[in-house]
Amino acid sequence: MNLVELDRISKAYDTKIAVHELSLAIEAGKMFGLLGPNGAGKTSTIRMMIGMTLPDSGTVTLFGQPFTRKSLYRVGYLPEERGLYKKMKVLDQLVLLGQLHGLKATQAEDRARRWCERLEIAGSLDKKTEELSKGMQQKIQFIAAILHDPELLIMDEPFSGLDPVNAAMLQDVLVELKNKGKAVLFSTHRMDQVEKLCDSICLVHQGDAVLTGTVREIKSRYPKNRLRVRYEGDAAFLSHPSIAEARQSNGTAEIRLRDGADPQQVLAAAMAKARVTYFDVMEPTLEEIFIETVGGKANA
Amino acid sequence: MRNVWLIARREYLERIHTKAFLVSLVGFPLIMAAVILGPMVLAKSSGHEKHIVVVASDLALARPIAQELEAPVNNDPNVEAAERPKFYVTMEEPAPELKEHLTRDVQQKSLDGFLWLDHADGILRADYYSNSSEDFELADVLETAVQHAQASEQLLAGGMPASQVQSLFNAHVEMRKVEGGKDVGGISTFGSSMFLIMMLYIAILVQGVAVGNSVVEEKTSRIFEIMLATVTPQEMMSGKLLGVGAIGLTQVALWMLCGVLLAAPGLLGARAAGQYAFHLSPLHAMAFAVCFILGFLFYSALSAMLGSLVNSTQELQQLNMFMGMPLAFSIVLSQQVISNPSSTLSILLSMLPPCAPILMYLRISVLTPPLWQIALSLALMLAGVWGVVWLASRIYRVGVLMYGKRPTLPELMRWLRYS
Repeated sequence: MNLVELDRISKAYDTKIAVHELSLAIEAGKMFGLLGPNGAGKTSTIRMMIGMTLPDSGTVTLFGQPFTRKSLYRVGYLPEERGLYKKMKVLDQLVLLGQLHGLKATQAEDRARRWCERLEIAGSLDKKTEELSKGMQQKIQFIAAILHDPELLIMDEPFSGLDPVNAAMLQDVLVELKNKGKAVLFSTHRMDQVEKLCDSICLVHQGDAVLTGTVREIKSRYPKNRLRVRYEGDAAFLSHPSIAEARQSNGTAEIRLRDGADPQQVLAAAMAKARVTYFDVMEPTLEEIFIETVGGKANA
Repeated sequence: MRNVWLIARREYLERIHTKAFLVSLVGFPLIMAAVILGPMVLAKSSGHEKHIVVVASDLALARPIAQELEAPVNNDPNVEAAERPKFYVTMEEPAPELKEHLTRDVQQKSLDGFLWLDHADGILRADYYSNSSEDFELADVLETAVQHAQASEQLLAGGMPASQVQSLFNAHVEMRKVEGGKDVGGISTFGSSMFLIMMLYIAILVQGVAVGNSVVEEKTSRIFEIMLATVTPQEMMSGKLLGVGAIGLTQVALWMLCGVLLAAPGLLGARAAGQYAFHLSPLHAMAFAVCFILGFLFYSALSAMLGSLVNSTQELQQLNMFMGMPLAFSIVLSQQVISNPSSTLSILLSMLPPCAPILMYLRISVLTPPLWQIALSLALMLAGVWGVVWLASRIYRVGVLMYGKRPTLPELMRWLRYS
């Protein structure tokens, strides 16, 4: 079931078009990556998704019905720009945000305590936000977003500024929630994270959705034209006519093939002159696809 | 509605625990107490007798002046007893170099001053020489004494018995105020009215500015990003106005309590009926609360709007100056309204929503304006508040998510039309 459906939504601020006829759908139990460089229209899209702004045209459907503010009780949002009340105690803050999402005060307090323990920040419950480190504040805000057990989680750059240990901790929670059937929208410009975590993506560039689909399907659309070869001996095979470009160091070569070339021929040529210890036909990374897609657009 | 309540409660609880609230709570009454008690304490501590010399060629004129200065004949016993300086008077007849001699004494402070009386062409000229030319209270006292002396001299010369002459000067006019058909007391309302409108002015301004500041703070701390994921900008603004407004009411209520305690007999017994006596009937307290609430809503909505437009408190401060101008203007004009509360100007000003909270309240406190005027002023204030809140909420909801440069006027006009 689709928890979110955006149908050709557009938004313009004065003369600048922030989002242009963007459509996407997010399923329950999946992690969805909203990708794009800074200023591509990711945040504008998210703001329309949760009714912070209204689209100039197009429709937003949440949980199978047209957008109503009641639906927001079922959405958790971690904004890119982090912000908490500085003078407020962490626990009070979490309880308030829980209440604003429809929880009872006692319920919110209970869950806040449990999550803080799980994320190893129980010690700061009675501190004021301004006394906490940035990473801790981020965890607090992460908890605020998931406190009311939302079905749809919107995470805008959730790991930025976190050390690897803490980033992994939050990532585990997100995967766990996804496996429980929540939908996670993951907005970022870090392609490597998306590649690991997301099932589907939407690539946004200058307000347009330039690529949508599952990660698998998108990758299969692009030819597997990159090889990694480790070898001992003569490197003369690197001048094979199928090879468009090759870089080598320490007996490892990264090769880009010409369009339509067969990797097997390169392998045969290599084996003829050298001893091949490793041969891999690599999938394009999202980053490469991104650069190719966006670069192509820019040139067109 | 639940969200508005939650936000208002947060705002209230956070503020009531701040040092700023405590300081203003204690500070304002302390300043007021200093204003009220200060002169009394000063009068008492500088309570040495003023030694002055009355110089007149005619001792028959100088003697009654000296007598009256040393022992006042009449006037309000409450005020005079506490306030009037005591005198020790000596009399001299004009002599060569006497003026130079006395002037030197005044300079060396062995003498507080001297009153030089001179008859020229049947007109009495009186000059008082001292180290200060600005002691108006003393000028009053001297003037009365001279007038009385002059009049009694003539009357005695005309054959009126001395006792009768004395009784002539015992007339005293007491200012009493009628409210709701009742005589509510013989006090001067000037002091308490000024006190109350200053309190109104400070409360509206302080709390109004507080709203703007907290909007800027929320904007710079990016708290809006997370809050607006679940509440509407309107809910945030209403919650804030309610919460801060409640703080203002709490503060004013506590101030009033202090005022009432200060004016209570025993503590300020001597001054209880004096110029600064704190007089507040339940009706006035209600008018005060209504004027505070409407004035607060008007200015704090404006302030919230300005807060949403800027990116730092410094920028806001510049705008606040303009915002506070109608309020300051009202205070400047308050003297005029007090002395002439029913003039066309006073009536007009008390109808203007930006000035009405202060000036209408002032008119209500010095006289009872016709009911239709109160009703019209209230209606206009409500309309003004509605208009400002409408405008502010439309600007606010766009402004809080806009960072960077301050919008231009045409941009603001477009914001109004955004859905």
